[in-house]
Amino acid sequence: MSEKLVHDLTARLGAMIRELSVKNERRVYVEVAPDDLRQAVRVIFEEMGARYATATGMQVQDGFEVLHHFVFDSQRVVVSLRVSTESEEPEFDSITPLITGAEFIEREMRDLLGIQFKGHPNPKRLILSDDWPDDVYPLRRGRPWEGKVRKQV
Amino acid sequence: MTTIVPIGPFHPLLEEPELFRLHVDGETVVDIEVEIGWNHRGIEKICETKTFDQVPFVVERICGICSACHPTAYVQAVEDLADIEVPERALYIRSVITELERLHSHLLWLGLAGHFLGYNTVFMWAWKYREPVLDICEELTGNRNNYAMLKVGGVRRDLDESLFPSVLERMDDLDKHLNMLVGAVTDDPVLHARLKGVGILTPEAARAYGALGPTVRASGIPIDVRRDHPYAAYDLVDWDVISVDSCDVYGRAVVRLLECLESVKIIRRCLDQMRPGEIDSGVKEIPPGEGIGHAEAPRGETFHYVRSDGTNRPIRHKARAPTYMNLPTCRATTVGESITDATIILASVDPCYSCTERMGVYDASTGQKALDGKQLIKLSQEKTRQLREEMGE
Amino acid sequence: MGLKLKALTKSPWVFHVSAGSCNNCDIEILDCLCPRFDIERFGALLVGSVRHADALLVTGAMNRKSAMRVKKLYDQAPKPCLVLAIGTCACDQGIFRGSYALTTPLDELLPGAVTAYVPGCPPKPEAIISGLVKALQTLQDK
Repeated sequence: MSEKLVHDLTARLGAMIRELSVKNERRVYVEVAPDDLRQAVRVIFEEMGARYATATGMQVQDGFEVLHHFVFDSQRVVVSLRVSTESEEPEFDSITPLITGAEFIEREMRDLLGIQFKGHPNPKRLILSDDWPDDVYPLRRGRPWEGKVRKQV
Repeated sequence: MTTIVPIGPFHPLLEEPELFRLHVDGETVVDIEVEIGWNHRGIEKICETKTFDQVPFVVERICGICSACHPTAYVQAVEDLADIEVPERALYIRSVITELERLHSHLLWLGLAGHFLGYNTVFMWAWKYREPVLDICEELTGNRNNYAMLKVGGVRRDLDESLFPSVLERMDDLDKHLNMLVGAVTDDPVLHARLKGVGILTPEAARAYGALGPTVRASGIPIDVRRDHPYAAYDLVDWDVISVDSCDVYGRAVVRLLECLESVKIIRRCLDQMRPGEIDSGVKEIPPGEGIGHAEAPRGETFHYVRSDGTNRPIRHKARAPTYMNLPTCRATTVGESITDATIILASVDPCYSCTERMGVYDASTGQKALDGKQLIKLSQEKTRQLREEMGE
Repeated sequence: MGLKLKALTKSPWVFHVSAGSCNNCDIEILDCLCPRFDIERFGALLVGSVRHADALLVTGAMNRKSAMRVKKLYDQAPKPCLVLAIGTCACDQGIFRGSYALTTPLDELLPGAVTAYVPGCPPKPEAIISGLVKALQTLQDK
């Protein structure tokens, strides 16, 4: 099922691909350089017609990673586009200008992991409460909020 | 002059409490802002502290009414990660449970939609017919909601075959009542007048927002995870994806109602085709790696991503609920509509039909409260009443 | 028992607050109002404003964003006001205990105010009705 799609992906993304791994016939992971992210998203979303599912941000051994998940419903494949950085202050290009549906998830990653998105049209706090300190990111490793967040009563 | 109407964040039925700020000019909505986070419980972080076997109990509680779909998506993500085969009987059981859930969820929505339009009979009836479904859930799984049936590699407990005849009998009953409800909605000229052409979500907008489930299927895009990425027993039984292309609130109601009939069909066939056998493949270890699972919840696709480093706990678990994608579409659907229709449009994606009772209209210039939630529902109900009179009912 | 209190026990108007719940308890509360369980036979009515309420039905694990609102709502309610903690989350934060997004549990947020605890995940409608009836009985002893 995924062979034709992988072929298509390789042809269209070309030199942008840093690594492409086919986990099984329904899951494909592609890594691109952060600078190529927007172009790759444009190819997958606009040219190839994938549906944008969501993104997963995470702190890994050395740095941060964001996976944008795209679903090809007619081909039964989920393609995850990976970008990573080794910086302690992660920043990636925002894809919201290309895909309206990405607005919430990028704001959420900014709240919970402290990943900044360049060019996001509305970079406001999304889900944490207003009294939450600005520099504490709960989804980072360990329990970073301990001793920094007071109980409310 | 623009007036700001805050809707929410609290109300009886909140699925995910939200705050909508409607900017209205006269009676027309000119802009809408959404604020969420009232229900954020840090589930993704909690999941990192639980073992792979404990996580289903946590994700079950992401949303009470999707309490079979989230664990389904999660266990599929882990099964994808570790290449686990699931026994066939377990697949059938998963389908039965998720379809029962879809039935009671859609009936719940129908009742509330009826209430907002001033059809309280629909509200009471839909909820009355929803009760037998909950009874079946309780008999089969032990609880009315939060079934705790899902497990990595299978299901936790078997279904008791001696109950099947009585379940099938009640499905026949429900079928009759559902057909009556379908008739009542599709034949009512007042409902046509209230719902048709209201809250238009074009296919282009639906794609840009990544809308899911009945919301997008009413916009003529027939995507359904159950068919497109078959899981559980959906590729082993015969059923149809319901989709209409009217793009409006009426279409969303019709899709949900007809889907109920399909669910009844799926449950009947699953119970028929189910053969005795293993229900669990006995998973011992989860290797390092990453996996993705998705499942069709009553409101659309739930999407889970799990990463493991070879220990007994996930190091990252991402869960995305369908309303997360459906909710922002309100910007495309409510702007330009009348405030009397805003209630039902916001309700039509089935996010939080509920906020409305805590809704108030504030005059932006004075900050004084002009209308409260009850009055807004009254406004909506009043409009239906007027229409009925005009149409000579 | 005064006349006002006696009237209250005959028609307790309830207001429902969800503070970080998974909405299961909320649906079961609404189910209580529907034909099968029909809590209105005890005179109970769901109201849209807390200022009309005799009893608060609180569900959820007290999310940081909503907990302060629960306190404000309780302050606005006319007294005596019964507070029912519906569901395991409202009783002791249940499975979500220890999460960064939660704050003080309900009975520390409103010290001494909680009249009845209805545990369960979710509690069955029968349990919610029984909780309400027992909470009303505490008034009858006064």
